[in-house]
Amino acid sequence: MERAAWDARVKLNSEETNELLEHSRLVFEQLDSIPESELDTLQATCYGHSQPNTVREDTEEASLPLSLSLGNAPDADESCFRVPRIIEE
Amino acid sequence: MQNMETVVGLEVHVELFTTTKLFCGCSTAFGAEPNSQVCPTCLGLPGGTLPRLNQRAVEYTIEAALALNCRIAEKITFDRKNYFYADLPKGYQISQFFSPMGTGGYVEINLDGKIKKIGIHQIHLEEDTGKLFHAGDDILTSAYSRVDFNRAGVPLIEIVTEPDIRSAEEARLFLQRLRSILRYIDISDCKMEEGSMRCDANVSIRAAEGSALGDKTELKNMNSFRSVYKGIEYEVERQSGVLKEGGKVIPETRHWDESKGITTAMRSKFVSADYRCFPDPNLPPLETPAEWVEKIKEKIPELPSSRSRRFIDDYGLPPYDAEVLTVSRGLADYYESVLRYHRDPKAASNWIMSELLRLLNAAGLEVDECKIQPEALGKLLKMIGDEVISGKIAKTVLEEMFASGEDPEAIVERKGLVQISDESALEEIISRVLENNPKSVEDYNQGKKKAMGFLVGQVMKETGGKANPQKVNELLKEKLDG
Amino acid sequence: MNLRDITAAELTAQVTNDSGLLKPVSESLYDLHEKGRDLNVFISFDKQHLEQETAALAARLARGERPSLAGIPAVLADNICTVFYPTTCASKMLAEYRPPFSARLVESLQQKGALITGKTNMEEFGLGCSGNSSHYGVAKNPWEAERTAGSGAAAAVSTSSALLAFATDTVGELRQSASFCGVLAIRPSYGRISRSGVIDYASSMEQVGVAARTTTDLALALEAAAGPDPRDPTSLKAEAPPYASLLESGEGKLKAAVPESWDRTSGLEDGVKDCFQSELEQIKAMGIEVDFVELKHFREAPLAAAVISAVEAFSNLANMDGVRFGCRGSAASLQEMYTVSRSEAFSSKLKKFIGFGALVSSEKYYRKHFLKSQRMRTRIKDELAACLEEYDLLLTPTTPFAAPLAGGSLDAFHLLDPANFYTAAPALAGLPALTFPVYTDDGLPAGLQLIGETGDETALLRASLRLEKGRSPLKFPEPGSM
Repeated sequence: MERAAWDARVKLNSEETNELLEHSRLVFEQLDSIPESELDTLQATCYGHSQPNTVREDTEEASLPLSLSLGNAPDADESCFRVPRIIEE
Repeated sequence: MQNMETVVGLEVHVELFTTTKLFCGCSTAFGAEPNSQVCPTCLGLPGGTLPRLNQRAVEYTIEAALALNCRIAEKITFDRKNYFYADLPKGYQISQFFSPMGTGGYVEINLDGKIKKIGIHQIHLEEDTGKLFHAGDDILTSAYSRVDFNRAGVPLIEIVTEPDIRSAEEARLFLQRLRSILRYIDISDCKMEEGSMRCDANVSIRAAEGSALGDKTELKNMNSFRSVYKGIEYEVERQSGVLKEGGKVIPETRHWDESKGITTAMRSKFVSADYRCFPDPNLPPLETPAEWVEKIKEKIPELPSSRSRRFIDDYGLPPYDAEVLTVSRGLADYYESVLRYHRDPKAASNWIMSELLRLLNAAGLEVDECKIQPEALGKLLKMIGDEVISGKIAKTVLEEMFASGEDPEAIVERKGLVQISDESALEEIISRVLENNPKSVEDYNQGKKKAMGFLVGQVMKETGGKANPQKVNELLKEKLDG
Repeated sequence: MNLRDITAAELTAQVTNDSGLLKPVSESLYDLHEKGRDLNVFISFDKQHLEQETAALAARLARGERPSLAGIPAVLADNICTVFYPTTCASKMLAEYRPPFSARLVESLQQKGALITGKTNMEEFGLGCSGNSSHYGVAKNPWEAERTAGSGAAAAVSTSSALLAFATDTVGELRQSASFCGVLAIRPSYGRISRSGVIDYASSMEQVGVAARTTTDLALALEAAAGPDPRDPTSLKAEAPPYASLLESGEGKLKAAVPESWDRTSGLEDGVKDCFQSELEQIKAMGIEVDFVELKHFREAPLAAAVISAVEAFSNLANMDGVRFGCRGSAASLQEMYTVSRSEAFSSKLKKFIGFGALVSSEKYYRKHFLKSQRMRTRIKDELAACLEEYDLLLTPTTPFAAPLAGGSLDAFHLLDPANFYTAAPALAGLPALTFPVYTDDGLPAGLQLIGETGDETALLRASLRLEKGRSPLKFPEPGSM
C-alpha cells in the first residue's frame, strides 16, 4: 500500500491507509468470490464502445502563445516551466 | 574464462519526419523558442488531453516495419505507461505495449562479405518527452531545472532487436544499416548527434555460445555511432573483468561517459519501476486493412541490401563498391543516373567513391546538394573514356565542376585541356625533350629503366599535362629502343 | 420573469420574439442565484458575465439570427472547461486553473444561443456524489438543506437557477444527483457528446449528460449538445438524431424488463422500494408490459466499475503534478514536490481512490483484479445487450436511497459506493440511461431509471414523455424557502 501511494504520489496518514486497506480487502474478497473460470475466455473491455479509432491529417494547427502555455504555471521564467531539483538528496 | 561470447540487443529510438506531433497539430520543427510549439494536448492541460492520432506517423511506422521485414499488427492500439517525471506532461506516456505495430522482422548486415541477419523483436510508435535544462553544471548539482515541452508528443518509433548482436562492430554495422534503411524510406534523418536517433544497448556476456545468458546491463547516453561502439566495447571489457575476478555482473542501468570513456551505474529509488501499462481508453483500436498496408508497401523503394546485390549482379561491381554506393538512396540514385549517360559501371564507381565522395565529405555536403549533375559526371567519364582528356586533367576538371557546377566540356574547351593524342605533335615534343635530356637518354640506354619515367614526366610538363600518357609511353619507347 | 413554470422551448420563442425580455431573464437568474447562495450550488457565477452574454445574444437576435437555444439559462459542472470562468473541478488543485480553451460542448451551446450563467459545484473531479470532497463544501439539496444535492448541476435545475444543466456521469453521478434533486437527466450513449474540453477521471466510462425539468427540454438540450466531434477520438461518428422533432409519447407497444435482483441490495431504503413497486404498477396500467428477467451479472457492475474507474483515475489525474498548472507545495526535490502538492491539494477521498487505483493496477493485482474486472465488464455488457434485444427498456430505481444526509456522510469514502448499484451497469456498457423523478411517501424525490439500447436515446426520451404525460406535473422546491 505504501508503494501504491508513492506510485500515485499521494501521502496517506495511518488512518487513511487503514481505511483504504479495509476497503481494498472488501473489494478483493468480492472479486475473488466471482469464479475466474467463467471469465477466462472473455476479451477484456478497455474502451467505452466498439467504434474504431480515426486518424487526423498531418497538417499544422496553431500552438498556444507563450502567455497562455505558461499562464497557469506555478513557477516559470520567460520561456520555460521550472521544477525543483530532480535528484533526491 | 575462455571463449566469452558477447550478447547485445539494441533499443533504437527514431524521431519521425512528420509535420505535426503524434496526437496534436503542433509543429515538430527544431530550433523554435522553448514552449512555443505546445497546446493543451501536448502540455497535458486538464480537459485538453484527448489524443488525435496523426495518420502520417502511423503510415511511417508501418512503412518502417515493412522495410524491417516485420509482420504488421491487425489493429493498432496504444497503451499508457504511467510514471511521474518533469519532462512527461500527462503523467503517462502513450506507447504501444501490448500490441506493437510490427514484430518478427530482421535486418541484414554485411560482415566481411558474409550476410548476417539481426532479428527485430518489435517496432512500435510512441510519443517523445519534453526537454530538461538543468541550472548549474549538471543534474546532480542544479538547484532547479527548466522544462521545454516542444519535443513532447513528437512521434518516435522504437526498434527493439533480438539479442543477436555479437560485438561492438556488429552493433555499429547494424545501426548504419538501420539508418540507411530508414533514410531510404525517408521517414527520419536519423542523426544521433542531434537526437533524432538514439540508441540504448543491453549488454551481457556468457561463457560459450548457446549457454545461459549472463546478467545484462543497459547502457544509455551514447550519442554517436562511435560512442555506441566504444560503450559496448568498454562494457564487455568491464563485465569480463568482473567475472574474471569471480564477481557477478549487477543488472543495472549504466551511463556512458563520453569524455572519460567509461560507464557508470545510475541510481534509482525503487529497484524496478511498475509502469502499470494499460490500454489507453481514449484511443480505441484502429484497423489496418490489407489494402492500406499494401498501398504503403508500394511506396517502399528498393532497399540497400537488395540494391547492393543488384549492383553486384547487374554492374559487376565488387561487393565493397556496391555496399558503399548503396549506403544512401541519394548516392545509389546518383550512381545509376550517371550510368544512364555513360555506361561504364566500374569507372563510375571509382570516380564517385574516390573523387566525388572525397569532395563531398570535405565540403560537408550530401550528394543531393552536389552541384555536379549526374549528366555532367557522365560526360566527364565519357571524355576520359574517349581519351579526350586524361584522368589527371579530369580530376582538376571535376574539382572545378564541383565548385562552379559548370559543364565539363565547357571547362575543357575554355581551358584548352583537350588531351594531345596526335602523334606528330607528340613526336615533335618528344624529340625536343630527348635533345634537352641527353643524360637521361644515356641512363636509359645503360639499362636504367627508371629514366623512362622521368622523360614521360618531362613530356607531360611540356604539354601542361595534356599529353595522352599512354601515347607518350609508346612513342618514347619506340624512339629510345628504335 | 418567472422561470419556474416555463419550458425552454417557450422561453426561446418569447425571447426571440422580444429580445427585451433578456433583461428580466438575466435579472431573475441573478435573484435566484442570490436567494440560493446558502445551497452552495455555484462555484462561479458572475453577473457581469451574464450581462455580456445577454448583450451578445440580443445583438445576434437583432441581426436576425434565430439560434435554437436563444436565451435559455444553462449551467455547467465545473469540470467542463470555459475560457470565461475558472474550471476548478471543485478541487483545491485547480482552484486557480484558467483553461486557455472552452469545451466543444460550450462552443456548441454558445453558438446555439444558450446563456451559460455559471459553473456548478460537484464532488472533487466529479467522483461520486454522496461524499463531501468538494473544495467549496457540499452542495445542499434544495428539498432539504441538510441532505446533499449530489451535484450543483441538478440542484440548479431543481431551483430554476437554470433550465438546463450539463455535467458528467461516470458511474452514475449525474443520474444520482438528478434523482436526489427530483429532476430529469439523461446520460446518452458513450461518445454521443464530445468529451473535448471535459476534465474526466475515467475516460472509458465518462459521458456528459444533461439535466432538465421536462422531457422536451431534455430532448432539446441533448440535440444541441450531441454529435460527432473530430477533436474527440471516441466521439460517435454517426450524426445524432434530431431528438426534439422525433419526440412523441406514442401509445405503441412497449416491453420493459426489470432485473429480478433489483431489490437485493442492502442499501435499499423502504421508501424507494415501495415507490419503485408502485411505479411499476402505474407503468403496467399505462399499457407497458413489464417482465422480471434474470440478469445474473447486473449486481457485479459496481465492483467492476470501482476497479476500472479507480485505475483510470490514477492515470487520468497524473497530470495534476504542480508543474504546468495547479497547486504546488513546497519541496526540495521534484518527486517530493509531486507528493506534497497532490497530498495538499487533493481531498482525502480522492487520495484514497487513486491510491486504490495504483494498488489494483500494480503488478501483483493487475491480472488478478484489474483484468478480471475488464472481463466482468464484457460479460455485463453482453448480458445487457442480449436483454435489450428482447426488451425496449430496462427499468430500475436510479438510486437505492433518497438524498443522503450531508452531515452524516462527511468525508464518506466508499470504494463500493452503494449509490452505484443501479447506475454502474449502463455506464460500463456505454448505454444511454435516463432518470425520471418520482417521490417517496416522505415526499422526497427519488428516481426511476430507464436504460436503452446503445445509440437509441430517442426511445428513452419517448418513454420518458409517456411517463410524464401520464401523471400530475412534477414538483419543485420553492427557491429560498429553506
